[in-house]
Amino acid sequence: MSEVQPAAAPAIELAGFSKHYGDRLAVDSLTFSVPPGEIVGLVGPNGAGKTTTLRAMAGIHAPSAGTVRVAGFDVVRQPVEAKRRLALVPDEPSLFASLTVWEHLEFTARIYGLRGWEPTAAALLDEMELGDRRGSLGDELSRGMRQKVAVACALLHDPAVLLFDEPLTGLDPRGIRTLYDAIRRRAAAGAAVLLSSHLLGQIEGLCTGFAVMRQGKLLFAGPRDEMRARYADAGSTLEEVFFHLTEDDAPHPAAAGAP
Amino acid sequence: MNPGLRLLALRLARGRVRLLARRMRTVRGAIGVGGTGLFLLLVAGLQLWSAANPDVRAGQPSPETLRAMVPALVVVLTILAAVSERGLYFTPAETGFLFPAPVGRRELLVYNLVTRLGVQVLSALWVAVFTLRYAPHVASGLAAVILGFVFIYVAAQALALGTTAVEAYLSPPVRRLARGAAIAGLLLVAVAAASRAGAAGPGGRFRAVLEAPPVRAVSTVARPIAELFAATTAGGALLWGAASLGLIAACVALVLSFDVAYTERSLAVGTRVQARLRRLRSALPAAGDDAAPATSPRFRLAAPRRLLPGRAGALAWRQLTELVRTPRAMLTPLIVGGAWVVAMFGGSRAAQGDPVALQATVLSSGLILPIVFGNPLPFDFRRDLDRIAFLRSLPLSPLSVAAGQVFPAALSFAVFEMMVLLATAALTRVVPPAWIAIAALLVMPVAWAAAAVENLMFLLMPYRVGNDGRAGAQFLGKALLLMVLKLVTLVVLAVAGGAAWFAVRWATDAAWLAIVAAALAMTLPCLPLTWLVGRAFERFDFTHDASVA
Repeated sequence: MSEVQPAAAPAIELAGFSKHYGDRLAVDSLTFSVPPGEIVGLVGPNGAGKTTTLRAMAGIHAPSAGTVRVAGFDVVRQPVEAKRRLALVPDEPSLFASLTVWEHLEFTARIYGLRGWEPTAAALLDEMELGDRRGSLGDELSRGMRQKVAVACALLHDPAVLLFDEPLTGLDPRGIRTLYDAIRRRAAAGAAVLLSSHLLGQIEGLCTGFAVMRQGKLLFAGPRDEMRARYADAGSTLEEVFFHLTEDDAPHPAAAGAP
Repeated sequence: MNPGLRLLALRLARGRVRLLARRMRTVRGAIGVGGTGLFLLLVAGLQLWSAANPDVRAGQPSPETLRAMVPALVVVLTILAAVSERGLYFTPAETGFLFPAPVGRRELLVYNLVTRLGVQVLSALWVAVFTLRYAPHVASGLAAVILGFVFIYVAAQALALGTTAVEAYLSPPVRRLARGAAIAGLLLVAVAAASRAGAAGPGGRFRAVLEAPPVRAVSTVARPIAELFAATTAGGALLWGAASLGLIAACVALVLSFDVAYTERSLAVGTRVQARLRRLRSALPAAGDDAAPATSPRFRLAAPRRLLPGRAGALAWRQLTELVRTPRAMLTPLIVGGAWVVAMFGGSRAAQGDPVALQATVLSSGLILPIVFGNPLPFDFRRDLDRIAFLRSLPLSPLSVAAGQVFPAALSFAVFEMMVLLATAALTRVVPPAWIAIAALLVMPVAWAAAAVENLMFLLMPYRVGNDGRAGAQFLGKALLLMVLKLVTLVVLAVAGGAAWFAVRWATDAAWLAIVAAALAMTLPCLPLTWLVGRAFERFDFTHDASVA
């Protein structure tokens, strides 16, 4: 098994995870783990299987084979226990059109069984620069604002595992910085963060490790420094390494050091 | 149920009222909601009035007939619902928030069933307006219709989840084979039953399908609902009401017992529903959508460029080319037209050559069709809701843009109407060729006026369908307003055409000249109508109206 940082017990653990959609194999025997406190970028071209992997971690897609564990809980056998400890921010932030921002936080708190959540919710809205929009309805917000509301709801129960699917889409530079700060703070507090993104240059400085996928297979999983050292010939930036790994003449997963 | 889900269900119910109140604060919203109310009152009033008519009540079916027909109808509707949705539908917001949340499978399923009950009850109330006249007692009939709708929803979910559970054990080829066999079996039963009905007409054939032994055997499950509907005593109604509730409870238990990956299926259902809503909203074909253009170069047709000169002609050419390259989009008008021809002429007195009936049906084809159906091919401003900014940037006057956009809709609708008329002529063999020639002259101004009014209304009150499809109710109000406006416009056209015809006939006694004069007189009002469409396009606030909720 390849770990981003093998020091702590993994917060996210995939072992031989595969997913079929009918005849099509979307993810092929994925094995990697993310320990607490790490921020891992899940990168790969379109159709690589990133969203399927994130959804499987959130218990939305059942694995066709293998296991997915979140904070030590199997998402298939103990879905509620696993979900209590995770949060998923989907790529398209869909809010309830007829609910206010505050009501989104209210029902999220109730779903997770939180008590005394109001000060945390108010602080989160301030952190996301939405303090003055708590009375706005879901359909009165811009895409970036909806994204921030989704993030605020995801952070409300202080999850041990944070999953972001393309979190930067629709955010302005200030919003991106706000989100980065929020992610770093949670990681520093011990949360494991896995985020997928196409904006390689944007996430390079944020992530402490990377998992690179292509056509459902894992090409690399490990710390950022290890990736740079291993693929020094390909270039110094994540983008250069990404193209080296994911283009047609890229090395075979086994040769690339993936499990 | 999880307290968060309970809170969400309550907040969403309150939110709908809040949205309605917010919509009522604008003139357009008030017209839409008011029009909907008026439409519902009008239809309900007409139904109640006709139900109170002793002649109608005397002709209602016997309880025995109801006991045979209602369960079969309920089962057929259940199967159709299960096949069309193939799983539980969750809105994108529900998917985003609830699927990753620590909520048990059963809690989420119960939430889905409970939150959809309101829609089922409202639908049942609406259907009850049309069906209560057949029930011996209003109270038991109403209860039966409501419970019937709830049963159809719950049983369809149980059926879909059960199918998913079974399919999980089958390999993809076996799954496809099983689906094909099931569809073939259903078709076989339907065709065999319909052919046994002989020349009973469409209604008789449909009834024969419902009364086919296999359908009756399967429909036994819905018997309590039929018995409740046909109950003639209070005791019987109570008994069968309790049985119906038990039946629904059993279906709910079945839904909760299937331990299947319903979230995946729901995501697929959600994608399909969203594609349908997008199509409804702007008629733009989505990726993988049914209306996506045919891509095979062999079938890549194009509208003739030379027949559409000028820059406005380029707009029309683009719409027409997209139209002919979207064969599946043309299926709907063909089905609608076919159904209209069969319903109006198949086996009717008109088909036997009754001149009065013939005149009435041809007139209804020409007048009612544009009013009731409208143009089912929205290759005009309705398709370009998300391209209004682009259209505004073109170096064209608003009138030219309006003409270029309305022309394809008018032409396609004129062709559609002529096809209906020609099919009628072929079917009845009693439509005089002169009628077809006259229709060919008059059909374009009628179609243009109808398309212009449709586009005008669309630009003034664009459809705004949210991600949960909540704008649906407003469509009724807008549809009513649209029908009234089209009716008024077509009456104006008819008066103008009639006046010109009479004037020329009086002056010259030349019938053909009178027809041409009538066509010209009917064309003239299309110009100010198109100008109005151009004005509406010019004033369209795309920053507000084109945004997706």
